[in-house]
Amino acid sequence: MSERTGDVVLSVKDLHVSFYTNRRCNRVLRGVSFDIRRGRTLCIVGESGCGKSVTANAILRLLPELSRIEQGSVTYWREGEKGIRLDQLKKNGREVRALRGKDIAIIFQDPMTALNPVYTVGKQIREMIRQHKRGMRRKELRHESVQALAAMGIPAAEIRDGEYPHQFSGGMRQRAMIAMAMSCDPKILLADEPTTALDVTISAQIFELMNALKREHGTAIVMITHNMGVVAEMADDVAVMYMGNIVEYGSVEEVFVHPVHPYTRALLRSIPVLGKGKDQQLEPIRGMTPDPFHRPKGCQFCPRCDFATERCEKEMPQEEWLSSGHYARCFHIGEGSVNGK
Amino acid sequence: MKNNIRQTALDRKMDRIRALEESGRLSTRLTSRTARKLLSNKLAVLGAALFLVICILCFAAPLFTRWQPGAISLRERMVQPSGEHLFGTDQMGRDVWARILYGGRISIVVGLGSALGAAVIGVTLGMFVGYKGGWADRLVLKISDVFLSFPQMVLIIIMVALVGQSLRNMILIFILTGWPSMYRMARSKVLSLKEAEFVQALTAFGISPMKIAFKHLLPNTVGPIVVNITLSTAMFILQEASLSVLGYGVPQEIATWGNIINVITNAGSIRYDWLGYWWMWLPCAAVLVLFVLAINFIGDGLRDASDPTQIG
Amino acid sequence: MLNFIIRKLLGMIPMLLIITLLIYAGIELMPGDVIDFLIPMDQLAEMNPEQIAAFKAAKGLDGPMITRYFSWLRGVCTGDLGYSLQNNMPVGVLMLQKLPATIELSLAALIISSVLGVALGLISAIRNGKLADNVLTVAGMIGVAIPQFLFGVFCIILFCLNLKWFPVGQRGTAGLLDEMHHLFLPAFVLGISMTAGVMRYSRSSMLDSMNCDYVKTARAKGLPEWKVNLFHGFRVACTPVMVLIGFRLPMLISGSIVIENIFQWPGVGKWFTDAVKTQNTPIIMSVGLFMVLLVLLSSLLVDIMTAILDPRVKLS
Repeated sequence: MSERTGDVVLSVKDLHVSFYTNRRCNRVLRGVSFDIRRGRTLCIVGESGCGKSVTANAILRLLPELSRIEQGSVTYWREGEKGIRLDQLKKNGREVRALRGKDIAIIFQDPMTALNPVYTVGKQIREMIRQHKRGMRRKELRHESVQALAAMGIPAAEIRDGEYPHQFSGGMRQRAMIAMAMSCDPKILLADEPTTALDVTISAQIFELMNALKREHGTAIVMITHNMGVVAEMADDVAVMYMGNIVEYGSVEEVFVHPVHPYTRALLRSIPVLGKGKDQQLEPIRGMTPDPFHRPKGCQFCPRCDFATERCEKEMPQEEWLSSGHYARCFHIGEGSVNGK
Repeated sequence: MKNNIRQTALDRKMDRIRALEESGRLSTRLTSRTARKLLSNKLAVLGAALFLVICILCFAAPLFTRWQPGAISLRERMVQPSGEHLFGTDQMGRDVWARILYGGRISIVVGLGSALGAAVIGVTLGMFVGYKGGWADRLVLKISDVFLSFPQMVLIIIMVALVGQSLRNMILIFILTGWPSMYRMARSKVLSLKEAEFVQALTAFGISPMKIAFKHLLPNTVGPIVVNITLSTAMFILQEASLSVLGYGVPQEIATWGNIINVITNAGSIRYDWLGYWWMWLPCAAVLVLFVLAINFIGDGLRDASDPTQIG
Repeated sequence: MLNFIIRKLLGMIPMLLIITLLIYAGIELMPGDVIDFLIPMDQLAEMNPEQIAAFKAAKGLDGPMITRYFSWLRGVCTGDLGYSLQNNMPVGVLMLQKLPATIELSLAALIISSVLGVALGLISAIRNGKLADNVLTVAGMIGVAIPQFLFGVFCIILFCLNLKWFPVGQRGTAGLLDEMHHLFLPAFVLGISMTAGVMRYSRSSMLDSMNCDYVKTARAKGLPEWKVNLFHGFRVACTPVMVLIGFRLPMLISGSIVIENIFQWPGVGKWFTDAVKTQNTPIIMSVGLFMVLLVLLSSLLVDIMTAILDPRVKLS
């Protein structure tokens, strides 16, 4: 087990996860490594099916029944304590449950379905608080849940506390979800595409809320998204995922200004940049994401890559460190790059 | 770095699948996902096999027995099973095995025929009238309401008393009491599909409602309809047997599974020694239960296979 | 709420009228003359047509069908359900004699089937795909495939006639213990034969619910599994299960027809089948009315229950 370095609160090392549905084995995560630091936002970006959500769920051991962590480690560092190996704890066991919600909280994509329709929003928040802070009186609990809602900018929190999720709008529901997630003051907030189901102005408000949390509580945030715009706006660090691997990882400046992996570069070329005017050349990435059961043998991006060579077809490139916080998985780092890093 | 937690059965199964996957032996040969799921469902395959065996035995009955189901022989009453009479004879000296086979024909025809009849009426009404809407839809809906306000057994008994007991009447009554639930299912399915975008697109292209209903909506509802038919078949076979016991079933002189098993109630009085005369009712009861079980296995398999949200 | 209930109840009236008229018309079409069942054969042979007409007039059997229907209806509205054509007893009084037996039997069976069915369904869903689930699923399918009467007769032969643990048929009369002794076997048979359906339905509802996101949210809160299963999975699955049980209320009375006949249970079901055999119109009508009323009332009950269990549903 590696030692803790600096302000790292959670480190994921070489994580492999497989799904065993349909009597098939789908190797969804194939060696994912990254660190989450206090007071910073890590954005995991990638197209659907690349394993972003699986990563978040694997950290909290929330994976479905027919799946398992094959190898690798997930270590959580509490202040002044030894690291906790989350991957070795019993699924839904006492130790994992003590961390869920209290130290690491998660927000799901669709606020419409993530709240239980038969309980009031306040009750669902109180359920979480009661689980982690024993011996609170009913009145105090209610005060806490109303406070949590009010802190997320929900107007008339006193009344909203007693209402059911279907009486909330989408944005308000996501605020309530964040209120719930933040109610026990977690060290890490995992946000699994928190604004995909919401419209743009509401998303901006939610992001502002999350940035405020980071500033005021020093919460480490992991934001999962497929939207490069969100990354540019929110991220301190970026992990670009493709077919179960992080293909490039680094600070947002490094990855956005000096992208080295062909996939990152192609991704950046395929989206318009605000302020560049209407004459931008947009290049879609050619080809299709391969079927997870017919994966390429070597580098997963190989069939769609302009730089692919014979070696790429046969072998999966290892993580190549370019600087202390920037790595990529590619045999052709720097080739054909505009800036020639 | 393997987890040092106790290996569970699930873990071992996963290891097996993984080994197969890595050796590249797991490839999808059957292209239809539905067919693959159905075939991998052992119970459904077992059900289909049982169903076929029982059907063949019944419909090719003369090949498997030389006795006639109605041949009374008062000298050989309640004879024990032997080489001569495979399952012995009943109180009237009729061969039980022959009666089970020939009776099966009637029971299967009653069950399957009624289910198909009810499905044809119910689905046609649900598709056509349900899709067009308007007063006809409201009328049919009200009529089905009337039928559904009765517990089915009560309605059947009243009807049997009305039209008298006969094989044909039994089927007609089952159809008459069975169509409303089929109709409701088809209608609700059509109404939800009506809102689907592909149907709205077809309407916008100016395709006639009739054509949309039968060419585009029917194929989309086939799954639940087939499931419903199988489950109704099982239900009707059971009901036929229950009605025999109550004295409202197919006339006593016709051999059906219900009438054969009915010897144990022996016109209302149950005898303590029926366990000793097991051959007169137990084999038939076993065949009936197996047949109903087989149909339910098939129906369940079909439902799981046609449900895209289920992972098999 | 009250508004909704009243509106629903008023809405039932036309339905009841149509249905009773239909049954009445149906009974008219029955083959055979009622008179055959009322007067012993030998007496009937000695009677002349005038005597028969007088007898019919006395019993209210003359006149066109529609007038007889309305006179019956008028009676019902004033609480007079007519007289049994066989022994001249008021149908209302007979009904009150038969009803407790049926309710006792059905209620016991309902409790057995609901408690057992829901509990086994939950176990099956929580242990999804494991041994317990497979065993329960197959047991449930066998349970559905065995005809009620066969199970009942088998139990009578085994437990009553051979082992002599229970009395054969009839209702107990000598005190609570005797009543329970008589009740146990028919209630057990009826209850068990209905359990499989409840179990399968509970299992699938629970599985649906357990696949929802809020269950994952509940786990992410750090709740222990039993709380996740009970307060989130089951709490939501509860609504459809309650709906099924609600809709089964009338089925219990009709389902008990077979069991009542086999166990010689002096309830409504047995009474009804006997009445149909003898064309005892007032009884058939009354039981028919009662059954339809029961179906309509339980659908109302289901509506109310859903509104209570699911805050998204509004009664309107």
